Amino acid sequence: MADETPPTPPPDPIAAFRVPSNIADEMRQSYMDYAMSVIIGRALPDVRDGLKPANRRVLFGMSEMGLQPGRPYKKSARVAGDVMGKYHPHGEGAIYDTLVRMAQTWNMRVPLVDGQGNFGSVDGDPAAAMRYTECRLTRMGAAMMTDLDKETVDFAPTYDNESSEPVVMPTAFPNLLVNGAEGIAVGMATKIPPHNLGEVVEAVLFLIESADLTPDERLEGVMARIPGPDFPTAGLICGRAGIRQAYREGRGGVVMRARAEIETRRGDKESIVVTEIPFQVNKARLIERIAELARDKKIDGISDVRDESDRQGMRIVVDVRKGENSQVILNNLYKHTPMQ
Amino acid sequence: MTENTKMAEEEQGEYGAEAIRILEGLEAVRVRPAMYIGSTGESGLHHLVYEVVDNSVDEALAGVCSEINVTIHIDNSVTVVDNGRGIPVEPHPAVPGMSTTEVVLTKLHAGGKFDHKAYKVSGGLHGVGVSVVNALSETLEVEIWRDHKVYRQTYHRGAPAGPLENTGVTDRRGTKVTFKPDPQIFETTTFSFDTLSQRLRELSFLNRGILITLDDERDDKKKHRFQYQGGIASFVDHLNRNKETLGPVIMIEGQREGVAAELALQWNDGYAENIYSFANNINTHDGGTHLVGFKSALTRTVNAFGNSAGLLKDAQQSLEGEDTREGLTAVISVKVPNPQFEGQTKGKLGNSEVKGIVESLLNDKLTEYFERNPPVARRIIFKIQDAARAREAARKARDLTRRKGALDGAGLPGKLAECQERDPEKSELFLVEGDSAGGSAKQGRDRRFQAILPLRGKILNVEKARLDRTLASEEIRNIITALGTGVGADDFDVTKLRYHRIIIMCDADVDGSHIRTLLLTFFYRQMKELIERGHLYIAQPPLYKAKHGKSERYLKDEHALDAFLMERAVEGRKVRLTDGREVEGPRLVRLLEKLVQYGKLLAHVERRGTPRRLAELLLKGEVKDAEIFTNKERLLELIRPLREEGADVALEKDEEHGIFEVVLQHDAGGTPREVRLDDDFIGSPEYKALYSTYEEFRDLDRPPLVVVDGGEKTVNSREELLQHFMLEGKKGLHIQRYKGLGEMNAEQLWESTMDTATRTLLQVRLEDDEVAENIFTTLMGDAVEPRRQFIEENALNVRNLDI
Repeated sequence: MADETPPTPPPDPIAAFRVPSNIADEMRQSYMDYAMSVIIGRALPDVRDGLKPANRRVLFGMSEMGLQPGRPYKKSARVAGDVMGKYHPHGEGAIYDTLVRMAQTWNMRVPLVDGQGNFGSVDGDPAAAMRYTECRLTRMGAAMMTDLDKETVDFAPTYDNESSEPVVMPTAFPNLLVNGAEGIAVGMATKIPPHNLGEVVEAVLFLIESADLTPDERLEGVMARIPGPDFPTAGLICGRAGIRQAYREGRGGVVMRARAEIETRRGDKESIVVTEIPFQVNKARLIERIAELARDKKIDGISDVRDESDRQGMRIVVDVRKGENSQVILNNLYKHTPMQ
Repeated sequence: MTENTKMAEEEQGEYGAEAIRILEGLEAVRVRPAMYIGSTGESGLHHLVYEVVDNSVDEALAGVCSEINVTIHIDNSVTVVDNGRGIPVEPHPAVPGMSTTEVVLTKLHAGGKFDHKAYKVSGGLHGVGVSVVNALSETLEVEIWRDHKVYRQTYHRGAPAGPLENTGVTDRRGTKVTFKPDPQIFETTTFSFDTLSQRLRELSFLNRGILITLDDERDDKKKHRFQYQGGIASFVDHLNRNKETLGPVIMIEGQREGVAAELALQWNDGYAENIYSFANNINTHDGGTHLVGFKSALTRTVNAFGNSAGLLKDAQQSLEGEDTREGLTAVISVKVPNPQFEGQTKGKLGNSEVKGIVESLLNDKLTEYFERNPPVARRIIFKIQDAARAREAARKARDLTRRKGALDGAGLPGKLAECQERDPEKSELFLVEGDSAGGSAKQGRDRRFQAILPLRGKILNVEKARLDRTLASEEIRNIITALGTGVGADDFDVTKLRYHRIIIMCDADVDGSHIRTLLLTFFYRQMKELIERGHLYIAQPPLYKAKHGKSERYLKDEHALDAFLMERAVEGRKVRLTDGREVEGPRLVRLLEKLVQYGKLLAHVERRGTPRRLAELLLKGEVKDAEIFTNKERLLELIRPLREEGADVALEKDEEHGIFEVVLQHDAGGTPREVRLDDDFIGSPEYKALYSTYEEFRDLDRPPLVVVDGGEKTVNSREELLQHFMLEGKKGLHIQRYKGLGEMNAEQLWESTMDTATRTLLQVRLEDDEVAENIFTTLMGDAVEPRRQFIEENALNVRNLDI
């Protein structure tokens, strides 16, 4: 096309196809589309199986690939790519992160994925790249999908209509309470701590058998069987009031504490030894923080802090200077560091 | 129109030539309705109500009316009742032989100003009067209670059906007008409760103490009642309801030289300026002398007080007008005896004397307030100082970037794909999500007049950020540079706009929706004028492409797809009903559409708690009113089919209301639930909608039906019929669903979304500033709770749930 001068587009051709749209309406619709999708289809778990869509698709994908416990591991990259292509049209990096988290024993009270290779650590190290690690389902992960093929749950078409995926998992054990959940959506967020499997199952059995009691009586029964959250990183919880309020009303706070003992060592010197830290606290950063406080003299009396963790377990040692009161220092640590 | 002339001939004997002349006046209104009422669309329709209400408000202004009741009836007619003095009924001095009432209702500009002594100031939208409403209504009935007598008269399209008659006695006083807008004139005759509610609320703010009620008979649950003793102070309170405020509402009122002024102000912790100005209850959108006086006095007073209180550190730091208005919500209402409105839309007050009056009033009273309330004054001055600092910072940031040539026309080599056309009126700029879509757009466009600017990632939410932080975002700087207008109160110059059509083109997925909201927020907050001038558009990329052999068709959304499939299927086919009647062509299409709509309504009803089986039984049983719920035998008969199917259903008596409830144990996807059905459901708008839809194809419920298309196929139910057509519609068709613009190749993108000959664009309009302001604050602002509530209320109406 040889144009000497750019011919003008026909005068207002768009008038015929121009539809007025009120900005308020457009905002309302677009925002609601986004908000509802994030709430239902991204950040918040389904109450029935405790899984966010990404988790569910990873588990389903692994099951479809035959990665049952006892069968050989497969490369994580294969899983991530497969799930991405078939069910989850988003970045495979994010999918791999989801998979990794389900395999981490300090994050999941009951891990759903069995990982082979470096899957990170409580110090916050990242997992190895997906081309190195391998994975398969754990027994509990597979249990989430018991009887999936027996028309137990609804299936919906996948995003490209080529196959179908389960809307929710059959869930043989109460995953939402046992593994907890965390997510920030739009206009709302959730944070549910993990609990002990045995206790939760007891509570469920009680609920089944107590249909004739009043709701208050049933709640009391449940709280008797589940005294509180049970973190995979163990540790201590201070006080019940927050827990009871959370169980009763849906909102409440839980104060967690590291488990620390005072040991004696050579001479008359003492050390504070920490063997368990609060849930979701990064051990490396905790140690850094203690060191920082000691250096800045915000906590006086600390001569050294060491990470002596190894295969046998976690062990953080805070050496106390001779003559100082270890209990006081311990209290300060609770006050100023993520130890509490 | 011939009706009017016929009636005129009948009346001619009684009223003489006068009648015809006056009717001709109203004829002019019917020929050019938009000139008198603004438009023949939704806004003009609602204006009819405001005209009538304004007359009642005039009575309130004169101090003789305390209550106005507005009711929307089921047939979309509206009644307005007031308890004022009632329109005068005596024969009009200027028009012998005709009552004043009739003059008011049939003569243009007669309005409510028939007695200058009666009203000191008068509102009414520039005085066109209620005769316009009469002219544009299919019927209008007026009932007047005055001097202990009742008077009545009816009109059809502006012509009286008879003279004003005395029909009785009464203790009441006031006027009642019921009118039904003429569908011959108006494109739509459905009133919006929310729209009316908004304006009525505003009126009740502006007229302190008056009680205004709004009832919607189409939906029993909708009733609003407005009465604000606090007047415009309550208005400001209402506007700031979702925001964190600094101090209480400052209320200033006074009267000087015959002009009465009321000013209410309150600062919040946001950055937007939210000032409404009214003159004689008319919203002066373009401001005017009262607004000017307000702004200048505010700046002066704040500076003076700041200085005298020693809060301004150095004499250098003088606070500018812009700073004082950051985060300010204010309402200015003046009542002027002889108002002059200027401007094309008559939305600007022109009386020069008002400026000085408002200035001196604000100056005196605000200074007094500050002196009496030092802590509040201090907080306000601090906030304004903060704004001044941010303005400085923004200016420096702007200068910096200007020096680098980033904001000043120098262009964005590499990012912006320019167009050849230099004339802004002919040029378009596409704001595209992501580089992948950007690539397709660049390849697919017409480079003569279409420019492309790709935006990487989600842009900043400017609702939560001031100008200086907004400018820190590279993507936003790119947009500003590309547009060429500059940004901010000092720099923004819409005449420098390089593209008169700015088109937002995002993916069809939910993240695209999010980016769209972020962009809209940016334009609304920083470049509102662009939207007001109609320069902002939203592209409509198709969701589907249907391909049959060589021919392809782009379809905007699921609705369009269904319609297309339907049309295809109906071609060459017809349906024979049991009574031999045949349905085909457009009628068949409509029928099938009703079926689809019915299915969607059923799903909607089920989501809200009533299983479809139950709803269908009610429809089949022709249950139209709640009466059946008092009749045990009929109810049992109704639910018998359910019982026979083995469902766990029973009747329970509700002693309190004397009715029976149907209680059904329903298994909804694995979780058993108990459903209770009573008369509430029958009265709900959902059921009414279901019923009216069902009526239209009741015939189809008698199988068997035969589909004739060369051969004959018998179907045994509605569902089967619909299924058959849907399948036929899809035959031979390859349907592709697009998830993102990057999925389309350049040619497809051009054909479907960018080619001026075939595309559809949404033009973003700003209809009601208050509503828009509220939406942006709720959705994009800091406070979480209002947002959560909004989501909860709107959750079930989401149009596109995309996981």
